[in-house]
Amino acid sequence: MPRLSVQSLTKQFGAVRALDGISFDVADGELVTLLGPSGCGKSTTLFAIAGLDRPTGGRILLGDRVLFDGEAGIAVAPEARNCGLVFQSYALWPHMTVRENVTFPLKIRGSRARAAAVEVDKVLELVEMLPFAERHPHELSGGQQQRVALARTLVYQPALLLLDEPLSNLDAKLRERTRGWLKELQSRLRVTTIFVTHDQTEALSLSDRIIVLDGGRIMQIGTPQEIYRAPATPFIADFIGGTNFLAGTVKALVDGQAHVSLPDGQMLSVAAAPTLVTGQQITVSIRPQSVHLVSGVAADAVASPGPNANLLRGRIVQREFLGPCYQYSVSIADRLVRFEAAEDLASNDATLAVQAESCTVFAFEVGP
Amino acid sequence: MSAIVGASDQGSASPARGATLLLSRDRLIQFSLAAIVVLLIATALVPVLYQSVLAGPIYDLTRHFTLSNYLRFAKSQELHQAIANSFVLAIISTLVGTAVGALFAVLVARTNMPGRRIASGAMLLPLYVSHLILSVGWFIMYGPAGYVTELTRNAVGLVPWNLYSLVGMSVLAGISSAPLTFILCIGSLRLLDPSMEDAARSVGARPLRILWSVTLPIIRPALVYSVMLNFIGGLEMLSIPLIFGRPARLNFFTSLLYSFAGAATVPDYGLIGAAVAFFLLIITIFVVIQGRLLRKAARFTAIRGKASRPKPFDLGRWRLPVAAVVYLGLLLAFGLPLVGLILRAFVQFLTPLMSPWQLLTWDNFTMIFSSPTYVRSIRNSIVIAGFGGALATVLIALVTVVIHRSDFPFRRQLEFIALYPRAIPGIIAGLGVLWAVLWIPFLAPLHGTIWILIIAFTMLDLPVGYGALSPVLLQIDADLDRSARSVGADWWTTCRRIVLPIARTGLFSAYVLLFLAFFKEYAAATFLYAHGSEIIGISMLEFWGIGEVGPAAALGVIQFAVTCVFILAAQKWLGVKLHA
Repeated sequence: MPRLSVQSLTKQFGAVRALDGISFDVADGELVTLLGPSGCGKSTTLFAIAGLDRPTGGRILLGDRVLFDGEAGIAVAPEARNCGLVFQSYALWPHMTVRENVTFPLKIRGSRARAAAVEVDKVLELVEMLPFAERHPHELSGGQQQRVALARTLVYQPALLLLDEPLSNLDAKLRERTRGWLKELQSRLRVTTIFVTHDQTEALSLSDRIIVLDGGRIMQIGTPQEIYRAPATPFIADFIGGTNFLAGTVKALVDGQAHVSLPDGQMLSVAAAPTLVTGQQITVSIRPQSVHLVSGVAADAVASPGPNANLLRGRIVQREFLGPCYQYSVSIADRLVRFEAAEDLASNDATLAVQAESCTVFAFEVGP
Repeated sequence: MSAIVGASDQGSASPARGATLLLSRDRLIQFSLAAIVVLLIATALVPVLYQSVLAGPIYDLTRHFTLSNYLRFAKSQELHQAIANSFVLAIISTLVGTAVGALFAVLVARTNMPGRRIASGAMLLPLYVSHLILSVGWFIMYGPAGYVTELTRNAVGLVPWNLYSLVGMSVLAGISSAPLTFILCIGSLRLLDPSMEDAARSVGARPLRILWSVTLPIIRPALVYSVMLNFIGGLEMLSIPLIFGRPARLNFFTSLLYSFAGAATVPDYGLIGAAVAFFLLIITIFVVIQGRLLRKAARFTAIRGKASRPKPFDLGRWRLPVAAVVYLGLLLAFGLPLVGLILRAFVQFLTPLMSPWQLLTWDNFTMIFSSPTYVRSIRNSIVIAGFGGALATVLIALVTVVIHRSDFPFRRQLEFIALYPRAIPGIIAGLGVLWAVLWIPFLAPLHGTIWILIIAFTMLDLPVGYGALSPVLLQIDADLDRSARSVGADWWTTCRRIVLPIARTGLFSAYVLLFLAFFKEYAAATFLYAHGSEIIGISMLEFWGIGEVGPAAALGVIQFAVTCVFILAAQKWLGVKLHA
């Protein structure tokens, strides 16, 4: 039985549908990420689960308990849901010390002072904030505040941990460290967690499963590997990992490979999806990582780069020095292909090698 | 570590039980607070409206309904004349007060006039002082036999002003309302985004042009609001009609009502009820129009809540002349009358013909402190302001939290009701509450106690407290109470433990404002006081009524001194800043 079940959740703002039939399950102990650009509905979903935002329709179940049912008019108050929500702003109460902040949830649950103190010490130790227990929030750094906010929700053993972009206010280095720490903590405590972010790296590295949202709808649900390797839509391919798109027409289907003709006449072989037919207009997604520079001048002279590699010629439009490598923008058939390469190419022309199996095919056209 | 986060399955482990009840504790508290507000206002309004359709007095048990009160009101020349006078006074004083106040605000906030801080402080002080004190001060200096009047007559041979006239009184009323306009305008001028003025300057507009076409439209909401408050203030003004109007035989609606309070014969309850109902209707229409205007105004103003320091306009060679005029104005309007009041309190009589040093006396103060009644009135005033102000602060704070920080379904309506007392003149509130006490038996024990004064003052000053607390609450990040809700606190716990403690400084400020408002209120008490529940303003009016100007001035000095001490103490101990 899933721990959390969200069923056909909708939220209507006038004519706008902020949530348009969101359904997913989260298993016990799982860490699921809601990923999407801003305005996609991920935070609205999270706050609906927490009870701080009232959806217009659908159901939310925690275990066998109904938290929200639009049709039956059930909306359990946020304080009765026993969810632990960590806010993006941390929302530590400025008039209380760290200890008072963390004790507050236990106090309102009627814990005795001594028992509460033991629990608070334990959880502050867990987030490595025990030495700062008597400080006020404004005396802490962003990362420390974030840990206190987490401690405040963990202390009462919530049935569900909800994290609203908890890393977004940290600087890059701290974010990376905190990410690892969070992952380790979550797998140790096995607390069912929903994590909201717009950062694909966070989503890929932390999640058991990722739910990609856009425009109030779920675009894809899957493990990080599935989402990265087999994105369901061009949007997801571009949003997660970043990619380049080339438009083309299927000329032939041979041995599970599709031979695609680009508008400028060049040919490209890619792994074919079973639904493809000859003559179809398609879009090929090519990850920057699977593009390699063969040579600038005499590509023909170079030995074959491998059985499944395609060679594509293009014109270098831009070359940026990034330190360890160069970022190239190469124009092929009026589309730009961006990738990084160590070589510093002098000429304006380039030949690129693209692995056939690393390309994804979408059966419709995508704008440049 | 599994002790900390185990697989706690039962959502029922959470502390709030209210969700399953039909009416949670939160809702119960929210409805109770709304009910208190509604009852407070109903206490002042319903008896008046009810009386206006009753044949006999409201306390008469053989009631029957009639419309004859309204007919008699329609024929009453005396009331018509008084209401007409009140409107003339309100209109002229609104024009004067708004113009003077807005001009001052622009000079202080937007120019490089020297000594702006002192000018600002001098302009704000009258806000915290009873109009009664100002009026007595003006009477002592500029009245027909006033000190400055006599000096002028002796020096020039004639006096170019006459405060025993409708226009004279209206101008005084305007001056007394200018500080309110000043504070409203300066608030929005300080929030003004300077880039808008800079933009106008960069397209070639001259400073005066900018002032007229950019700055003034932006403070328009503040102006509209202050026009409304000044107009109502003019209609409800009691001090000037009593002190200047009575000797000049000019009746105003408030002074006419006041004469009923002390009347020897049983007054015509029905007629008064009808007249008051009519008066309230007019003011209500005005408030509604103002609300409409402001709603539209909000659309094209762009006031951002960011602290910025706009570049002041350079007055150039007019700097000193402008400053001189401003300071002279402040001195004549507020400085001299205050000096006159203090002087008058310490002399037998005040005349330019004799040096005040020869007339020095403690008699006026001795007279007050030897009478238990007057001593009691001072004590009552302090208790009502200190204790009643605190009660009112608590109530209004909770109401404001319901309006801004809850999902109470009627919070919009509650806000409208809480702001409505702006439209209720103090003396009418007093009359309404008195009639409520006479009418409803279980309220009778309140009669003649200071509790009834606290109730009436709380009702009247709901908008003051709400106005002080709203911005404070709106500044608190909503995540702070949402996080409290999510960790398991219900709304009421969140209010008590999170929202109000964070708003502590704002609560102190509101308390100080309410203390000062309660301390200076007197009009609402004219119908409500009895032996034992007198307040300073009532005693002042009593002395004034029998021609004892000296003791009245002495009481004014005492009130002024307590006010100053309280403001200083509040700044020192509570860390409260009163308006910039």
